[in-house]
Amino acid sequence: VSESSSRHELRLALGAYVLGQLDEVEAAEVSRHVESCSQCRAELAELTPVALL
Amino acid sequence: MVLGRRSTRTPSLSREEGVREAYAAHGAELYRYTLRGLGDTGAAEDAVQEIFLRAWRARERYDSSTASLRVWLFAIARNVVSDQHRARSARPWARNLVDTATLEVLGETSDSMDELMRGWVVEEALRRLGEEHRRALVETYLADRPYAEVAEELGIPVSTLRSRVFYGLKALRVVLEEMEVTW
Repeated sequence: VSESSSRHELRLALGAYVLGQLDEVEAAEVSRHVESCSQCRAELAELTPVALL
Repeated sequence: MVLGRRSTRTPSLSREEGVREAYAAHGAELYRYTLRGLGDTGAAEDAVQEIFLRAWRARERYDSSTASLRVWLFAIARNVVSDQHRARSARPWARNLVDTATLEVLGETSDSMDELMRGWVVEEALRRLGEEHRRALVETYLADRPYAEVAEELGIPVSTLRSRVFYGLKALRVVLEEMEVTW
């Protein structure tokens, strides 16, 4: 898996992540990625209130 | 946020035996859902009772042309689970719940209106999504089913289902903004 496609998959996993549907390993992977990716941080900020409704 | 009051009566929840029928049809999967969300069998059982209590109290607002009874119950279930999480963090969970026999003597109350409105807002917003996004969110988010199972049922890879959940949530946010939901 190339780095860019992996990044793309991590971004698409944000939906499942914010809904608490990832297992611990994957959730941790997404957490680590979000810390270093400003685009995904912005996505997360946008999706979180929707998931909490 | 204001949604039109629905006047359609649902015969299935207007009698105590209707509640029992709904419980027989959906109680088990609602229990699995609340157990996964709460991680405690006692709390999960209480939550299921609360779901049916709220459904019964709001029975006049249920509109079967908008959502199936199952989808409606799961929308309430989400609220009950999230309320329990909030209650646990704010104070010990100390609410007494009633069994279905007691439901008969309870009148309409408004104390759970906020939760019901949230459930309706989510329902209404989901209804405005495209079929693929809506189905992906309903099956994984409201029904809390495993991705592998849902993906297989839809005949798509898990990665595609994840993509639909992601873009579905983004679309849901746009819809909620159109509905002037504030957060």
